[in-house]
Amino acid sequence: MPPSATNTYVLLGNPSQEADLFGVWRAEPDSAETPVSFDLGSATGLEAAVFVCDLPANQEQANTDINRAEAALQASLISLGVAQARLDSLLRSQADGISFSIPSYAPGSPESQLLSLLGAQEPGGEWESASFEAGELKFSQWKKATDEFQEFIHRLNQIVGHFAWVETQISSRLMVRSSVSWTGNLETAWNIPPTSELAILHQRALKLALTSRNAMLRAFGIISAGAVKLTALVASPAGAILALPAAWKFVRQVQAETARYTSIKEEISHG
Amino acid sequence: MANDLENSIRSAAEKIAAYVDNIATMTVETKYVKIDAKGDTDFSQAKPIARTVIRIDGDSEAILPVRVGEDGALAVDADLLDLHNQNVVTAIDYRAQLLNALIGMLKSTSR
Repeated sequence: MPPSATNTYVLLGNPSQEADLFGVWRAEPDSAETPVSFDLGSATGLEAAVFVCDLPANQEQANTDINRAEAALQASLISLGVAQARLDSLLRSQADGISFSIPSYAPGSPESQLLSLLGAQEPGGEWESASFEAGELKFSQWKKATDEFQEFIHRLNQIVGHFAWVETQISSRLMVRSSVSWTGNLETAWNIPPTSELAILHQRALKLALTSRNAMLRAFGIISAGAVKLTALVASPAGAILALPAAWKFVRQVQAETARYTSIKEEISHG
Repeated sequence: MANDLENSIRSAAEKIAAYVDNIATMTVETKYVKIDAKGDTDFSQAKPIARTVIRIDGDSEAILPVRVGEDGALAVDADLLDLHNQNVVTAIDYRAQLLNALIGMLKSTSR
């Protein structure tokens, strides 16, 4: 029996900043049909997130794909830490009574845009203007951030609250599948005979999926804690709800900025 | 839109809180399934190889894969056990990571 609802994430051979999950996974539309039975004993009929690692038969290429994904996920985790530090720094400067003048942040920087979105100040250092255009722009930015955050929360609910299926396929043929409850109960079914190479690839795929799951939780923690503190900056009664997507947008922007920096650094180091 | 968001966040927060009620035991089970003559696989037919149950109070139990030798003596299948043990290590690591993520959340909220 298939899970009652699934979100499928496919491992990218070439990690990208544009990927849906930590630069590593691409979200696939829900699929009604499944190629093989999903039955793994106790994990049947539940909602699930399915992580699919479809690797090439060539062992070297498969290892390269997994290496890239591990590096991209690691970079994404580091950038989450950077986002948390920058958010804390911004909030500390407010708590210490340091002027919040936006010119101290580069125009277009995540900090400048966060303050602008929260209505603390407009870009350029002027206090929020009441112009219609500025209000329209802010509303569209806020709506975009809210929609994206809503999608993130939807994924968080799918990924954290339910079972995760982690499948390792070789040339699109399913070889091993693990079902992991979010408290860590793990069931693994192998096509036999499992080779040691496949065992290693699947363990790495499993770790990628589970680390991504924990990273979602960590991101949620950073965003929610940041939003609670940002609420103080928002004049609107809907402060907390406004602060959540604003914090989400900030974290995503810092992650993208860090990824760009890392990519430039790598280009330079490779000549 | 704000109500949807609030409900989604509440749902996520409730799931995270429910974690604490569900960590008393952790079960790791390894199974196998045969590829049929056509090369197809039916994972619903998977048979257990080994199972480990770890309890938060320190007790644990393990069911191991064994072969019966010609002399009738039981011998642990080392390859299958190794495969299973890798899964146990992964599950333990995952739970440690998850607890760290939860502790990190609590710390960042209370700071």
